[in-house]
Order: sequence, then C-alpha cells, then structure tokens
Amino acid sequence: MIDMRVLGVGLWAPGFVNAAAWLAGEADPNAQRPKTELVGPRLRKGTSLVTRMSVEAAVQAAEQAGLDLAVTPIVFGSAYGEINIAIEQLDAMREGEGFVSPLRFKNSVHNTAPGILSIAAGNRGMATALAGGAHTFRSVLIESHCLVATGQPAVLAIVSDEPLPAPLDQRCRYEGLAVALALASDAPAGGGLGRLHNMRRGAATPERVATSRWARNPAAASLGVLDAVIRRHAGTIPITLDGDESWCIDYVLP
Amino acid sequence: MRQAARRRDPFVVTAYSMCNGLGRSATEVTAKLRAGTRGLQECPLTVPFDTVCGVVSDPLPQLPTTLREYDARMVRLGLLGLEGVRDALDRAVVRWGRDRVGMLIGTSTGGIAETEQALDVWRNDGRFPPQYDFETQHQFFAFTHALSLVTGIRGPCYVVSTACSASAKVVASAERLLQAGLADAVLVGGVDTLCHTTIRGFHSLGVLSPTPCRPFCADRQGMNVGEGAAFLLLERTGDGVAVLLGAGESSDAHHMSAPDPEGRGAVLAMERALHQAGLAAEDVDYVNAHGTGTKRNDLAEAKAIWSIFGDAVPVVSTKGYTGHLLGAGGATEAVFVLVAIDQGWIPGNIDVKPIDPEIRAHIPHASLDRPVRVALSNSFAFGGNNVCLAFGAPS
Repeated sequence: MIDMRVLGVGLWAPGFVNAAAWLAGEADPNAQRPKTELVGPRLRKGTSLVTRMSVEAAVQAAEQAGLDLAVTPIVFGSAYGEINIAIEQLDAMREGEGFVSPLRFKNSVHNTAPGILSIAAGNRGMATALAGGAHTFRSVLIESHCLVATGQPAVLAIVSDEPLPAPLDQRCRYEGLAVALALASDAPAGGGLGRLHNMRRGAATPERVATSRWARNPAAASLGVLDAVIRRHAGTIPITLDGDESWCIDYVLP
Repeated sequence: MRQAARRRDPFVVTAYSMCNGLGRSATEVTAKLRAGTRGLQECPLTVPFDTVCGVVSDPLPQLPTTLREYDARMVRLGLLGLEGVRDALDRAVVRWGRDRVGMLIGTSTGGIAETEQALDVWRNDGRFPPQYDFETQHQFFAFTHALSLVTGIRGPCYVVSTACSASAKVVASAERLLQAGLADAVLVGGVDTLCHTTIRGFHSLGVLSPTPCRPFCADRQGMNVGEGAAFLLLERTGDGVAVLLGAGESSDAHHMSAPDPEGRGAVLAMERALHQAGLAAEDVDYVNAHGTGTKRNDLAEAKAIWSIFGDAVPVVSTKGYTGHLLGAGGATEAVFVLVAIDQGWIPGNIDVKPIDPEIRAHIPHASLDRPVRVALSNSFAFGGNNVCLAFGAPS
C-alpha cells in the first residue's frame, strides 16, 4: 500500500518558473531556460532542458520541505530522457568522419539529471533514473514509496520530459515540464502538505491537465497531484496519461 | 569489524539466465567462461576506428504476430535471454498471482539502435520506414511493456536507466519492492544492443580499446562494448541457487563520466551492501569487479576494493570475456556471481599479465575451484552512479 507524506513541491517549465506561477496561469515569455544556479557553469555546460528543469524543480521542492540536497535520495523519472542530445549525436555521426562530441556523450545518459544534481549538491547517496512511458510518474511514486518504507527519511521525486526533437515529434508535440515532490514516510507532527495513499487501478478526472500545453508530456501525469497539493484539494487524482490502463491515488489533507 | 546484524529478509534467486557474446544460454556462456574463452569479435557496425565487440549470434526469437509493432533487436535479445527463466517465471505467476509479480528492467540504450537506422532512411527519403515506430521500438519502456504482455506480469513494471549500473540497480529496487510488500516475486534483468551511439560515444572519450580488453592489466587500452541480456527471478520464498543478502547504492558526486580517483563512492556502495547484509569483509569469498579495462576505472575500483578487503579476496572482471554490456552488465555479472556460488568456482581475469603494479588487490589470472558462500558484484556508471550487490549461498 503506497502511503507517503508530501513535504514540498517544485515546478519548472518554459514560461513558468515555479508552481505558483503555473497555478496563476500567467506565462513569462522571458523564462525559457532555467538558470540552474545550483550547478556551476562548467558542470552545466552542454546540459539539456530536461536536466536543467529537473534541477530547478528539485531545488524548489527541497527548499520547501527543508531537506538537505546533499543527503536526500533522488528518484528521477522521464519517458524519453535526453532525447534531444541523443538525436544531436546521431546528426553529428553523419558529419565529417562520424565522430561524436565527448561533452554531448557524457550528458546523453538517462540519469544525467540526477547525476548533475548529485555532483552539484555533493550528494553521495542513492540516485536513480526510471522510465515507465505513460506510467513514469506512477513508477517514480512506487520507487519513492519503497525507499521511505525501507528506512529512508525522505526522497526527492522528480518527473521531467522535454519536447521531442524533429522528426520524432511528428505524432506527438508538447512543451517541456519538470515537477518535483519531496516525499517522506511521515512528517513532523503529522504535518506537511498532505498524504498520498491508496494507489490503484482506476480512472479519475484530471482538472487542469487535459487541455493544457503539456497534455501529451508524460511528466504531466504529475500535475493533478501538484494541483491538489497546492490548492489543498483532497480527492482522487489520476497519475497516468493515455496508457493502456489508468491509475489513480488519493490525496488527503494533513 | 563485524557489521550490524542483518535487518532485512534475504530473498531467494529461484532462476537465472543470460545470453551474450559467449553464448545464447547460461549453460553455453558458463562453459565458455569456465574454459577461459573470450566472446569478442570484430565490430559488426561500420565505424571509423578499430574495436572489437561482444555479439549475440543469430537467429533471435520473434515476437508473436500480435506484438509485431514492438519488434526491435532489443526485444529479440530479451526474448532469447528470457528463455532460461521462462518456466520458473510461469510458475511464479501461478504461485503468487500475476498482480503480485513485478518486472524491473535495466537498459542504457533502450531501442536507439532502431532509431539510428530509421533516421538514416528519413534523411534519404524524407520519411521513416513503415515498420519503424518510435513509441513501441525506441522509448525506454517499450521493451518492458512488450515483455509484460508476453509474460502476463501485471505487478509493478518499469525501467531503470542509470547507464552502466542500470541492471544492478533493478536488483536493489526489486529488493525494496519485496521488502515493502508491493510484490512477492520480481523478474529483474538487463538488455542492451550494440549501437553507434555507445560505440562512437565511448571512442569519443578515448576509452575504447582497439583490441580485446584486459581489465587490471598494466598494458590495458580501454574497454570493449558488448550486447546481451540477463535475468534473475527473485521470490519472497522458495528453493533457489542463492539469496540476495544486500544491495548498496551510492553516488560519487564527482564527475559525469570519470570515476572519483579515490574510489570513495565505490567504497560507500560496498560498505552499504555489507551493512545491509549484516556481513563483515572477511565473510566475502569473491568480488566481481566492474573492471571495465579503462585506466581510471580499474585504478579507482582496485583502490576501493583494497581499502575494504586488502588482498584477501579474489577480484575478477568478466568484461574481458563479454565486453562491457552497459545496461545489461549489472545483471549479467550478478549471474556470474550466482554461478560461482552455485558451482563453486571463480573465473580468472583473462590476459591480465602483467598486472598493473599500482593495483594491490588480489587479481587471479586463472580460475579458482573453491566454495563461494558470499560474493559481491560491483557496477558503476556515468553520473557517478554506483551499486554493489551481495549474494550468498542458500542456508
């Protein structure tokens, strides 16, 4: 039985620099690339939008939760990961003698975001990177629950996907998004921002996701939970998008 | 100093299987390993430099017609690898119920080999080949989803992709799934195929050897890439070849592609595995090293191993036999450890003489026949991602 407390939330998407801006629905056209101040310029060089958004969202969630980024386990999830760097590499292979850039290659792995975050924060703890297609957010919740259920005090759960590059975007277009949740088995004095529990098969109605600019972004499966937590709106929340089967979870107030 | 008493239940490995450049089944692979034969050959991909690879020989199994949209070399490799555990998996599904059996798969490449070919066609013709589908052939979860449809598994299913530690990470995740009560059995494994992205990428870092790799050797020139698949079936209870005693995970917090030269993250992973297992260093009979054959990895890892075990424990890299299987490496080397426990022998490091004089760990150059009660398997990756798995003989 999944059961976790939410201690903090974070969001970064082009135009929306945090969850409050997203909730207000007012896009800032100047916010197209995260500053990612936690990461030094040398480490940041050559990193993708998906990695930079993930770091920003994670920092926000950790700050709200009062978690130390240097010791908190990181559970990152993305359906497509570093897909833009992957396609850039394939393009580079067709040029000249067919060699690729070492800078691109080292940042091309699916776990680049948690890797960069762990290096920037000096975190020698556990970090992982998952993929579950339309079920990526659900997979991140399962992994996070297992960590806190087996002794980790808290976990930073992050989901992020960036727009697919051409020509892979022919059938599926969406904008970039990263959402982070700081999760724990329990909160001080039972507080926190509420509790997620009773994950199960079944449909629930998303309130603000279906028609949004991220409707087909796999990371948008987390927006229902984010919306409920920010607005303190208890209920049954969808946690999957367009998959073969729907899953949901209950959000209850502290 | 003896560690804290074990605080977790050990889970049983009831079946294992693998395929790689050494052979198409665990039996074939083990026989070649025992004989000290390399499974490396000329790279089958056209690349602008010399290297050798581990290649799984054809023919590979096909998906059922109803699942043809998932057809990719990765799936076919996975189906071949799965053959050795299929009967045990079917029994587990009946025993526990299909909602209580999970599947966690490690990969680094996903199906990018299919996209490499499809993009070539697109650039020439302006359209993808008709059989190509990005969603069902490339994206990381496609393979796992296809395998869940083939096997009927309906418990937690997802992919871990932490580069070269991915299919060791799935063992740690599966242990937690079982410990947390979200499953009663978990099929874990890893699959990766040869592709231009990884072979050219490692070449760009200057770590790809033009000749068969020689981990821990003074004359080593780097690593070779291999392809393959490996699976382990973990169950809450049952008769098995070994038990999973512990899993330690850590991050280097040092560099995206280079290991911490002091091996501090590697030490943490091994110490955490021993701690979770309730073991002391002197309890360990064998360490299967990550041992890529690169200058930096082998030095840092040997330093880390030395700091815990001195020269008391045989340390072996099996990558000289298979190449580096990347996302399939962790599960494959976990299976090699299970074979050592099950059959009572440790492979030798192939072509390792002269051993690097800076390496002080015990690096056997020939196989050793001896009982193996406890063995560790190390897997390290880009992002400074480290895993150490501890397996033991069933009590």
